[in-house]
Amino acid sequence: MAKVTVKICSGTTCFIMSGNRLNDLVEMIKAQYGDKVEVTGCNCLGECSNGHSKAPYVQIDDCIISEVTPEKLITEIEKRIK
Amino acid sequence: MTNNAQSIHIKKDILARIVEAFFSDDFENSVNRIPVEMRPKGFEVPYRCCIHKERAIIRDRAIADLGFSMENDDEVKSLASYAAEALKREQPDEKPLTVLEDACKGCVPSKIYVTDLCKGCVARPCEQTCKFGAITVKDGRSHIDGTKCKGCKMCISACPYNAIVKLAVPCEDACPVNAIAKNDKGLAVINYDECISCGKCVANCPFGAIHEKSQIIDVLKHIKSDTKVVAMFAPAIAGQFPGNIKQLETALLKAGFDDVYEVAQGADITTKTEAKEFEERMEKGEPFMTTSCCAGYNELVKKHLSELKPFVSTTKTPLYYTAEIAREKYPDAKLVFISPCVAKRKEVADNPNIDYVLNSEEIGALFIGRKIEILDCEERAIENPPSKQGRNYAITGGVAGAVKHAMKNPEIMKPYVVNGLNKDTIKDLKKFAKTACCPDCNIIEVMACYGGCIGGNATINTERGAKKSIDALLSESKDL
Repeated sequence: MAKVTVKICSGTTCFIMSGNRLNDLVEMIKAQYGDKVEVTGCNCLGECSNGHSKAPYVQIDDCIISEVTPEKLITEIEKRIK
Repeated sequence: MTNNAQSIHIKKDILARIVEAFFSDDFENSVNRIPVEMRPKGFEVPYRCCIHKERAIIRDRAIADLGFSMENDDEVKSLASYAAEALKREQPDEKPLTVLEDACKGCVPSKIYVTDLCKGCVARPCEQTCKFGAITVKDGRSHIDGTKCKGCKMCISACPYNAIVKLAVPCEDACPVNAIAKNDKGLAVINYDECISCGKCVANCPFGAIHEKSQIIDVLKHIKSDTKVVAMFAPAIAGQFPGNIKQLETALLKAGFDDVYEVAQGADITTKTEAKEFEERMEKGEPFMTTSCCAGYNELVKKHLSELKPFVSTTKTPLYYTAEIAREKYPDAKLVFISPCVAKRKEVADNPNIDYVLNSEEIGALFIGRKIEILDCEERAIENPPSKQGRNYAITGGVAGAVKHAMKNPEIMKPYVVNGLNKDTIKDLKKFAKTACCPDCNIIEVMACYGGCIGGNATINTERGAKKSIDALLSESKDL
């Protein structure tokens, strides 16, 4: 099975709109999913150019998800590794 | 940092829109449109009963963000008029908080309540335990007479079915000094004679109904004019944004500030002065001394714990010293303190050297509104960087640790840390003052917020994330 790639946007808008909470999950995700998931922070994904209301954004594989909460991020990861 | 991520998200969204509106061609009209733009026709209603209530509460929040009290709102005045008034205002309102009535009514006044779990048992321990005769059993179920109940909670612990509960009012429960209470209309009211501005009600209301009255328009007005505006950021702010503080300083300059100071610089003066004061007090044989940099704690002593006053260090706060340095260089500038909490609003109001306070959420909104990408900012060269100890003030234990570091005989220090003010820790402090004794300790560091300033009510980052960034900064900072 291919590895799931997770990029947490650390651009100013995403970080401020509570995306910083997702950074606390990085170690947990690594411990929980090991080699199945690769998770990193990244510079601005550019999604906020249409407004900040839907931030924070995360890119999972080729898919952008918006208004990401820690719960939503885990659900999205689980969906892909099953 | 509050756990109420949803209402904080909305709050920051509105603030950023107000910043965008301010720099648009038509500030008043743009502000006026915010509630409808955030909740347009057909928008799925996320939290409240209907779209109209959602918009009403967004309007309330925008009024607070423009710096006004909801208590004086007539529900007719438009956001455009508020915006126009904010532009004309010379002085921001001194009372820092306001309660949003439309958002507040979610919880009922606190009382002891018998739930459906009551079995109307034969033993009736609730009735037996109540010293005030407030409980009777009618129709197979316990009833509490509200006029007799004193809220002692004895019945709660007596019930074998866990059938009796105390209805929580989170703001009242969180307030360490009983300064907020629901009135007979079910609306929370802050008693400013008692309030120490610690911000715990703001952080704990699940409806986000208690709001800071922002000074952001006042600051933006000066930024737009020819006035010099200087930012001084608290040590906790170093952990609130992406990137490092050198990038943060550039971002603040890009946002329109003319110069930026680290308040950690003033913290170094506080450390040295306080270490000297502590040693002198110990030589005189005093039992203990407490720190004095937390504004919430200073207000607590002033309003509720005057017996502790003789033990409180007379050393000024890091902000005080930083403002002196900045004022000397910029005699005519507006000095803005960037704060992790609302408590500093009071300190700033009492210090003629400092003009305004913005919290990290407001600075965050400013960055979003001005589209400033911190990670893309150049690193600003910092001349005379503050010490490791000064930069560590924001984390519980940091102040006492810094003072210890600056002492001639550090081994005599026996610290005691109050990590967050609440009703219990206040009781302890009262006891120490009354008995003039703090067992096995001679210095008390008091932080109103759990974790220190990085746990302030208006922080952006999680405590963990903030600590990580600050630790990285400390590793490249020099000892005092």
